[in-house]
Amino acid sequence: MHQEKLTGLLDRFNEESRGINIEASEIVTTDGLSLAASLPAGIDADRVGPLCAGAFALSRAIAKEFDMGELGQVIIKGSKSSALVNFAGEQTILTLRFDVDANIDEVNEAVKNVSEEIRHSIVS
Amino acid sequence: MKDIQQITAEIFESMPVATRFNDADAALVKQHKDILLSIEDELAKGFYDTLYEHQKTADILGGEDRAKRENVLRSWWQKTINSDFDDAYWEWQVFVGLIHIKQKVTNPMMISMWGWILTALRKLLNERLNQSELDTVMMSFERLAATIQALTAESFLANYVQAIEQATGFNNNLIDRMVGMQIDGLIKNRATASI
Repeated sequence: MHQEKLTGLLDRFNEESRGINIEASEIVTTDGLSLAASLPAGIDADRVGPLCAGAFALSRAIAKEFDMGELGQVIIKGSKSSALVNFAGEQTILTLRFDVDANIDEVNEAVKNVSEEIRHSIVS
Repeated sequence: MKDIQQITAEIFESMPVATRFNDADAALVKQHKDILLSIEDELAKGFYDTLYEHQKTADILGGEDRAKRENVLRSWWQKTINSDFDDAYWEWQVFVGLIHIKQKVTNPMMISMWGWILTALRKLLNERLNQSELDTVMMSFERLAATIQALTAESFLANYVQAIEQATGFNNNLIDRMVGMQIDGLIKNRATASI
Protein backbone atom coordinates (compact mmCIF):
# COMPACT_ATOMS: atom_id res chain seq x y z
CA MET A 1 0.00 0.00 0.00
CA HIS A 2 2.74 2.42 1.07
CA GLN A 3 4.86 1.30 -1.86
CA GLU A 4 2.15 2.10 -4.41
CA LYS A 5 1.53 5.49 -2.85
CA LEU A 6 5.23 6.28 -2.67
CA THR A 7 5.89 5.15 -6.24
CA GLY A 8 3.07 7.42 -7.46
CA LEU A 9 4.46 10.25 -5.38
CA LEU A 10 7.98 9.80 -6.80
CA ASP A 11 6.76 9.57 -10.38
CA ARG A 12 4.88 12.84 -9.93
CA PHE A 13 7.88 14.43 -8.21
CA ASN A 14 10.26 13.44 -11.02
CA GLU A 15 7.83 14.72 -13.64
CA GLU A 16 7.45 18.08 -11.87
CA SER A 17 11.17 18.38 -11.13
CA ARG A 18 12.50 17.93 -14.65
CA GLY A 19 12.73 21.69 -15.00
CA ILE A 20 15.19 21.88 -12.10
CA ASN A 21 17.34 19.00 -13.47
CA ILE A 22 16.48 16.23 -11.00
CA GLU A 23 17.33 13.02 -12.85
CA ALA A 24 16.46 10.17 -10.51
CA SER A 25 15.05 9.46 -7.08
CA GLU A 26 14.54 6.62 -4.66
CA ILE A 27 12.95 6.15 -1.24
CA VAL A 28 14.56 3.55 1.03
CA THR A 29 14.30 2.48 4.63
CA THR A 30 17.25 3.16 6.93
CA ASP A 31 18.13 -0.53 6.64
CA GLY A 32 18.36 -0.28 2.86
CA LEU A 33 15.04 -1.69 1.66
CA SER A 34 13.90 0.07 -1.50
CA LEU A 35 10.32 1.34 -1.06
CA ALA A 36 9.97 3.20 -4.35
CA ALA A 37 12.29 4.25 -7.14
CA SER A 38 12.28 6.28 -10.30
CA LEU A 39 15.68 5.55 -11.80
CA PRO A 40 17.18 5.59 -15.30
CA ALA A 41 17.53 2.25 -17.09
CA GLY A 42 20.56 0.25 -15.94
CA ILE A 43 20.52 1.48 -12.34
CA ASP A 44 19.39 -1.19 -9.90
CA ALA A 45 17.23 0.16 -7.07
CA ASP A 46 18.09 -2.85 -4.90
CA ARG A 47 21.79 -2.02 -5.17
CA VAL A 48 21.52 1.76 -4.85
CA GLY A 49 19.14 1.57 -1.87
CA PRO A 50 21.44 -0.16 0.63
CA LEU A 51 24.36 2.01 -0.50
CA CYS A 52 22.37 5.20 0.15
CA ALA A 53 21.22 3.87 3.53
CA GLY A 54 24.88 3.03 4.26
CA ALA A 55 26.04 6.53 3.23
CA PHE A 56 23.41 8.02 5.50
CA ALA A 57 24.28 5.74 8.43
CA LEU A 58 28.00 6.46 8.10
CA SER A 59 27.39 10.20 7.82
CA ARG A 60 25.15 10.06 10.87
CA ALA A 61 27.98 8.37 12.79
CA ILE A 62 30.36 11.13 11.64
CA ALA A 63 27.85 13.81 12.66
CA LYS A 64 27.59 12.21 16.08
CA GLU A 65 31.38 12.06 16.55
CA PHE A 66 31.68 15.67 15.39
CA ASP A 67 28.86 16.71 17.71
CA MET A 68 26.94 18.17 14.74
CA GLY A 69 23.43 17.51 16.00
CA GLU A 70 20.85 15.52 14.01
CA LEU A 71 21.95 14.69 10.47
CA GLY A 72 19.57 16.00 7.82
CA GLN A 73 21.31 15.58 4.50
CA VAL A 74 24.36 14.11 2.77
CA ILE A 75 25.71 15.63 -0.46
CA ILE A 76 27.70 13.49 -2.90
CA LYS A 77 29.30 15.51 -5.69
CA GLY A 78 30.31 13.81 -8.93
CA SER A 79 31.76 15.30 -12.12
CA LYS A 80 28.54 14.64 -14.11
CA SER A 81 25.86 14.59 -11.44
CA SER A 82 25.45 15.05 -7.74
CA ALA A 83 23.27 13.26 -5.24
CA LEU A 84 21.45 14.25 -2.09
CA VAL A 85 20.67 11.65 0.56
CA ASN A 86 18.00 13.10 2.84
CA PHE A 87 16.31 12.05 6.01
CA ALA A 88 12.62 11.90 5.06
CA GLY A 89 10.92 10.91 8.27
CA GLU A 90 10.82 7.91 10.55
CA GLN A 91 13.33 5.33 9.21
CA THR A 92 13.00 6.66 5.68
CA ILE A 93 15.58 8.14 3.34
CA LEU A 94 15.03 10.00 0.08
CA THR A 95 17.89 9.99 -2.40
CA LEU A 96 17.98 11.96 -5.58
CA ARG A 97 20.44 12.52 -8.36
CA PHE A 98 20.59 15.86 -10.12
CA ASP A 99 22.61 17.48 -12.87
CA VAL A 100 25.75 19.41 -11.83
CA ASP A 101 24.20 22.53 -13.35
CA ALA A 102 21.08 22.32 -11.18
CA ASN A 103 20.36 25.12 -8.76
CA ILE A 104 20.90 23.58 -5.30
CA ASP A 105 18.45 25.93 -3.63
CA GLU A 106 15.70 24.87 -6.01
CA VAL A 107 16.61 21.21 -5.50
CA ASN A 108 16.53 21.65 -1.72
CA GLU A 109 13.17 23.36 -1.85
CA ALA A 110 11.77 20.48 -3.92
CA VAL A 111 13.32 17.96 -1.50
CA LYS A 112 11.78 19.72 1.47
CA ASN A 113 8.32 19.61 -0.09
CA VAL A 114 8.46 16.01 -1.23
CA SER A 115 9.96 14.85 2.11
CA GLU A 116 6.93 16.34 3.81
CA GLU A 117 4.66 14.38 1.46
CA ILE A 118 6.64 11.16 2.07
CA ARG A 119 6.35 11.62 5.83
CA HIS A 120 2.63 12.20 5.47
CA SER A 121 2.21 9.14 3.19
CA ILE A 122 4.03 6.87 5.60
CA VAL A 123 2.15 7.87 8.73
CA SER A 124 -1.29 7.98 7.09
CA MET B 1 24.22 -4.42 20.85
CA LYS B 2 24.28 -8.08 21.93
CA ASP B 3 26.17 -8.98 25.07
CA ILE B 4 28.14 -12.17 25.67
CA GLN B 5 25.19 -13.88 27.40
CA GLN B 6 22.93 -13.24 24.40
CA ILE B 7 25.55 -14.41 21.91
CA THR B 8 26.15 -17.58 23.96
CA ALA B 9 22.42 -18.34 24.21
CA GLU B 10 21.90 -17.85 20.45
CA ILE B 11 24.80 -20.15 19.57
CA PHE B 12 23.51 -22.88 21.89
CA GLU B 13 20.04 -22.58 20.35
CA SER B 14 21.57 -23.16 16.90
CA MET B 15 23.33 -26.39 17.89
CA PRO B 16 21.39 -29.68 17.85
CA VAL B 17 21.27 -30.90 21.47
CA ALA B 18 22.91 -34.23 20.60
CA THR B 19 26.01 -32.45 19.29
CA ARG B 20 26.50 -30.35 22.41
CA PHE B 21 28.60 -31.19 25.43
CA ASN B 22 26.15 -32.46 28.06
CA ASP B 23 25.90 -33.31 31.78
CA ALA B 24 26.99 -36.93 31.20
CA ASP B 25 30.09 -35.64 29.37
CA ALA B 26 30.83 -33.29 32.27
CA ALA B 27 30.51 -36.20 34.72
CA LEU B 28 32.90 -38.27 32.61
CA VAL B 29 35.50 -35.49 32.59
CA LYS B 30 35.18 -35.26 36.37
CA GLN B 31 35.56 -39.02 36.68
CA HIS B 32 38.83 -38.97 34.70
CA LYS B 33 40.04 -35.69 36.14
CA ASP B 34 43.34 -36.99 37.53
CA ILE B 35 44.38 -38.71 34.31
CA LEU B 36 43.39 -35.68 32.26
CA LEU B 37 45.34 -33.28 34.47
CA SER B 38 48.38 -35.58 34.33
CA ILE B 39 48.80 -35.09 30.57
CA GLU B 40 48.98 -31.29 30.79
CA ASP B 41 52.77 -31.07 30.26
CA GLU B 42 52.72 -33.17 27.11
CA LEU B 43 49.69 -31.32 25.74
CA ALA B 44 51.21 -27.90 26.34
CA LYS B 45 54.57 -28.89 24.82
CA GLY B 46 53.06 -30.46 21.69
CA PHE B 47 50.57 -27.63 21.23
CA TYR B 48 53.19 -24.91 21.26
CA ASP B 49 55.72 -26.98 19.27
CA THR B 50 53.08 -27.09 16.52
CA LEU B 51 52.33 -23.37 16.72
CA TYR B 52 56.00 -22.31 16.78
CA GLU B 53 56.84 -24.58 13.84
CA HIS B 54 54.34 -22.79 11.59
CA GLN B 55 55.30 -19.29 10.44
CA LYS B 56 51.84 -17.67 10.54
CA THR B 57 51.02 -18.91 14.03
CA ALA B 58 54.57 -18.26 15.26
CA ASP B 59 54.22 -14.66 14.07
CA ILE B 60 51.17 -14.23 16.28
CA LEU B 61 52.97 -15.66 19.29
CA GLY B 62 55.77 -13.17 18.64
CA GLY B 63 58.83 -13.01 20.80
CA GLU B 64 57.02 -13.52 24.09
CA ASP B 65 58.49 -15.98 26.55
CA ARG B 66 57.36 -19.52 25.63
CA ALA B 67 56.73 -20.56 29.26
CA LYS B 68 54.37 -17.59 29.63
CA ARG B 69 52.56 -18.65 26.45
CA GLU B 70 52.30 -22.25 27.61
CA ASN B 71 50.72 -21.04 30.83
CA VAL B 72 47.76 -19.75 28.81
CA LEU B 73 46.98 -23.28 27.58
CA ARG B 74 47.82 -24.84 30.96
CA SER B 75 45.45 -22.49 32.70
CA TRP B 76 42.69 -23.17 30.13
CA TRP B 77 43.20 -26.94 30.45
CA GLN B 78 43.08 -26.86 34.27
CA LYS B 79 40.00 -24.64 34.30
CA THR B 80 38.32 -26.88 31.73
CA ILE B 81 39.02 -30.16 33.52
CA ASN B 82 37.95 -28.65 36.87
CA SER B 83 34.98 -26.85 35.35
CA ASP B 84 31.32 -27.30 36.22
CA PHE B 85 30.60 -26.40 32.59
CA ASP B 86 28.14 -23.77 33.70
CA ASP B 87 27.10 -20.53 31.94
CA ALA B 88 30.24 -18.76 33.17
CA TYR B 89 32.45 -21.40 31.53
CA TRP B 90 30.68 -21.17 28.13
CA GLU B 91 30.62 -17.37 28.25
CA TRP B 92 34.36 -17.47 28.84
CA GLN B 93 34.78 -19.48 25.61
CA VAL B 94 32.74 -16.81 23.79
CA PHE B 95 35.06 -14.19 25.25
CA VAL B 96 37.99 -16.14 23.77
CA GLY B 97 36.50 -15.34 20.31
CA LEU B 98 36.79 -11.64 21.15
CA ILE B 99 40.40 -12.04 22.25
CA HIS B 100 41.17 -13.95 19.03
CA ILE B 101 40.04 -10.93 16.98
CA LYS B 102 42.36 -8.71 19.00
CA GLN B 103 45.30 -11.10 18.64
CA LYS B 104 44.54 -11.92 14.98
CA VAL B 105 44.05 -15.61 15.68
CA THR B 106 41.89 -16.76 12.77
CA ASN B 107 39.16 -19.43 12.89
CA PRO B 108 41.22 -21.82 10.68
CA MET B 109 44.02 -21.54 13.24
CA MET B 110 41.64 -22.20 16.14
CA ILE B 111 39.82 -25.08 14.43
CA SER B 112 42.99 -26.78 13.21
CA MET B 113 44.51 -26.63 16.70
CA TRP B 114 41.34 -28.18 18.10
CA GLY B 115 41.95 -31.01 15.65
CA TRP B 116 45.47 -31.27 16.99
CA ILE B 117 44.21 -31.39 20.61
CA LEU B 118 41.79 -34.23 19.83
CA THR B 119 44.47 -36.27 18.06
CA ALA B 120 46.96 -35.67 20.87
CA LEU B 121 44.37 -36.53 23.52
CA ARG B 122 43.55 -39.86 21.86
CA LYS B 123 47.25 -40.71 21.66
CA LEU B 124 48.02 -39.70 25.26
CA LEU B 125 44.91 -41.31 26.75
CA ASN B 126 45.44 -44.51 24.75
CA GLU B 127 48.33 -45.30 27.08
CA ARG B 128 46.23 -44.66 30.19
CA LEU B 129 42.68 -45.93 29.47
CA ASN B 130 41.24 -49.15 28.10
CA GLN B 131 39.64 -49.05 24.62
CA SER B 132 36.07 -48.71 25.82
CA GLU B 133 36.92 -45.90 28.26
CA LEU B 134 39.00 -44.19 25.63
CA ASP B 135 36.16 -44.23 23.08
CA THR B 136 33.68 -42.83 25.60
CA VAL B 137 36.01 -40.08 26.82
CA MET B 138 36.93 -39.14 23.27
CA MET B 139 33.26 -38.84 22.27
CA SER B 140 32.79 -36.41 25.16
CA PHE B 141 35.82 -34.40 24.07
CA GLU B 142 34.57 -34.35 20.49
CA ARG B 143 31.32 -32.77 21.75
CA LEU B 144 33.34 -30.37 23.90
CA ALA B 145 35.45 -29.45 20.87
CA ALA B 146 32.37 -28.89 18.68
CA THR B 147 30.71 -26.78 21.37
CA ILE B 148 33.73 -24.60 22.05
CA GLN B 149 34.60 -24.23 18.36
CA ALA B 150 31.02 -23.10 17.66
CA LEU B 151 31.12 -20.60 20.53
CA THR B 152 34.54 -19.21 19.68
CA ALA B 153 34.06 -19.06 15.90
CA GLU B 154 30.56 -17.57 16.06
CA SER B 155 31.63 -15.10 18.71
CA PHE B 156 34.51 -14.07 16.44
CA LEU B 157 32.03 -13.34 13.62
CA ALA B 158 29.35 -11.77 15.84
CA ASN B 159 31.82 -9.44 17.52
CA TYR B 160 33.48 -8.57 14.21
CA VAL B 161 30.11 -7.59 12.71
CA GLN B 162 29.11 -5.70 15.86
CA ALA B 163 32.34 -3.72 15.71
CA ILE B 164 31.54 -2.79 12.08
CA GLU B 165 27.99 -1.83 13.10
CA GLN B 166 29.27 0.44 15.83
CA ALA B 167 32.04 1.99 13.76
CA THR B 168 29.88 2.72 10.71
CA GLY B 169 26.43 3.20 12.19
CA PHE B 170 25.13 0.47 9.81
CA ASN B 171 22.41 -1.54 11.50
CA ASN B 172 22.30 -5.34 11.39
CA ASN B 173 19.54 -5.46 8.74
CA LEU B 174 21.48 -3.12 6.48
CA ILE B 175 24.63 -5.23 6.80
CA ASP B 176 22.57 -8.39 6.10
CA ARG B 177 21.10 -6.74 3.01
CA MET B 178 24.52 -5.62 1.75
CA VAL B 179 26.04 -9.04 2.39
CA GLY B 180 23.07 -10.70 0.65
CA MET B 181 23.51 -8.37 -2.32
CA GLN B 182 27.21 -9.21 -2.63
CA ILE B 183 26.67 -12.95 -2.14
CA ASP B 184 24.00 -12.99 -4.88
CA GLY B 185 26.52 -11.29 -7.16
CA LEU B 186 29.26 -13.78 -6.30
CA ILE B 187 26.93 -16.77 -6.88
CA LYS B 188 25.81 -15.28 -10.20
CA ASN B 189 29.44 -14.70 -11.30
CA ARG B 190 30.39 -18.22 -10.26
CA ALA B 191 27.42 -19.71 -12.13
CA THR B 192 28.25 -17.66 -15.23
CA ALA B 193 31.91 -18.69 -15.06
CA SER B 194 31.04 -22.39 -14.80
CA ILE B 195 28.71 -22.39 -17.85
